[in-house]
Amino acid sequence: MSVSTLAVARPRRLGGILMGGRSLRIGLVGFALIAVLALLAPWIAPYDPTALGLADGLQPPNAAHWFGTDQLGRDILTRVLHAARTDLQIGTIGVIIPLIIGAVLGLFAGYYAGWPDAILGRIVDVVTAFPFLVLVLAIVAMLGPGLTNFYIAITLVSWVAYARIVRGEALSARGRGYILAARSLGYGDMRIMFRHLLPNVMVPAFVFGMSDFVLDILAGASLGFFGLGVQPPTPEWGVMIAEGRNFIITAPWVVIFPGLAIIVTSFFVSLVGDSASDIVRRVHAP
Amino acid sequence: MRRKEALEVDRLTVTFAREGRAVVRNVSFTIAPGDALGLVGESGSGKSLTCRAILRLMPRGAAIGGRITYGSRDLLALCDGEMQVLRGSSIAMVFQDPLTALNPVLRVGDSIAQVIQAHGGLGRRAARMRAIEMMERVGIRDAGRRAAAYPHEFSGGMRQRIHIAMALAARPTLLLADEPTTALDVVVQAEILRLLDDLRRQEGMSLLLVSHDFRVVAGLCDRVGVMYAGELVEVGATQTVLRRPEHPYTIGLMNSLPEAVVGERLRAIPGSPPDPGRLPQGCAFAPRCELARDSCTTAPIPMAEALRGHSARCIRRDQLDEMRRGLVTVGAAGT
Repeated sequence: MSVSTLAVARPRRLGGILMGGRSLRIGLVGFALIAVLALLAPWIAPYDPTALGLADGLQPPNAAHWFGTDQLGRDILTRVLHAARTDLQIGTIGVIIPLIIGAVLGLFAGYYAGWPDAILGRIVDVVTAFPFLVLVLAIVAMLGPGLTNFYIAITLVSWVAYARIVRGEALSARGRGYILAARSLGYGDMRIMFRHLLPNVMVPAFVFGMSDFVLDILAGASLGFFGLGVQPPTPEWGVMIAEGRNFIITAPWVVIFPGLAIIVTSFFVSLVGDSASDIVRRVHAP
Repeated sequence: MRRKEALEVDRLTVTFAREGRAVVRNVSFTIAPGDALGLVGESGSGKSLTCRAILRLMPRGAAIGGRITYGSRDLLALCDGEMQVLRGSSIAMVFQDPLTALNPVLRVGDSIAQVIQAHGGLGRRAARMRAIEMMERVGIRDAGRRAAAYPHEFSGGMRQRIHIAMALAARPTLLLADEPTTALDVVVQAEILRLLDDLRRQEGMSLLLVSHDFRVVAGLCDRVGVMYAGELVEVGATQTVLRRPEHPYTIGLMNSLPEAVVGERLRAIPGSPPDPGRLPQGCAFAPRCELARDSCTTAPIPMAEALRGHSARCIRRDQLDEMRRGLVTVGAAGT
């Protein structure tokens, strides 16, 4: 099925369909809510995320600390809210930079075909040969822990997915009439690629970006768990789970709440991604 | 008055090297400034590729041979950059299917304005104004508002008008129209043809019109060329070709028009065109021709002039009278 005639053939209606799906609406609203909570964390969180209160360590959820406190007496609700900022940032940056790089390279490969396509194809094959998390871990282990290195690793690994998607779309769209018509009007390759081809091939890449967002948050949490991602005391869901793992029997709330935060966020984003891809498929269907 | 230039195509050949197929062979014709030439032939006769070769927009693997000159410029010798500047501004093209020829994600006004900006060096605002002007010229009512619409919001005929507006936006002096009305219904077809004809006269443009339909060409073109199996088999003034065709294939083509044989069964030409990879020696039409003799298939048939400016590639022209009998006059489409 060719994907790109579809959605883009009816830009106005796409907006209507997007708002029409129920699961999509739930996903969007839920995700927006989380994003708002994350943005407002410094103002709505009841405590300071790094303030220690050793005397109050490992309190179960109660009226003063709704989610309880961790081993250092820090308020878990506060830390979960602040961690949302970090984790959403990981998801966003982890999608946008690879999306841009992958889309540009995929566009070149798909438009020119021939040897640029062959070279890109080989590189993509090599990167794809490794499991995602293993490669991210290996790169971070090489560069050293920290958020910046994590972004570098994510970018190095996940641009290939976007490149492959955009390249495939571009390869099929370059044969369309409007590209030939654009050439017959004396447009240069750059104009044709970025102004004519790109808007017609981006939708599937955006849809993939939604599921990639979840993957990036999970990767960030996993690396945080291993101590390779965000460094304490900065709150991050994965780090919080890692730090609380020794108390999983005696004080399960320390790990349960950040874990729930990951699950709920992933759920809403997946909902958006899945229904968006359904819609793309429906609109694209002949 | 704008600069007038003649298009001269000399022994044009298009070959797909890998498969060794010559799909256009030795095609020569001239279009004088402001003139209109029609190319007629069935699908696969090479007329579209002839058209695209002039803009050097070839499919992958196709090589162009021969010589194409426009004014003083040798088009096949230009570098890619020079050719690119020429496309749209001097020579523009209208394609068959207006839906696929328009970018679905661009508003039509922006599509037209982009042509003007790319060639005319006008600013955004001025280009937009001119785009709306162009839409009015091609007969789109309420152009100022419609400029903000997307291609799918227009009917087929309106889309073709917009496509024509794009092609003419940078004021080309030669327009190549590749089956511009084939995808449209008959009523709309006549309107679009009239529009093309009017614009051509107003702008003093030359026109190369490709069609499989004699009637379309008859309405718009002073001269017509008939193509068969990649070759030009007959070329001459439209009126003389229609009145006194000099090639059996032209006669067959005219006979297979529905209106040529009212009340009778359609007279299709028996057989099918040859595979461009395995062309017969001599006349490519000989296997389907009732006049063919051994001499037709021994050597390539040269173009021979019958009247001044009317030539055909047939050595048995003196035998055509019988075939011409019963030929009905072909009227122009839309008139």
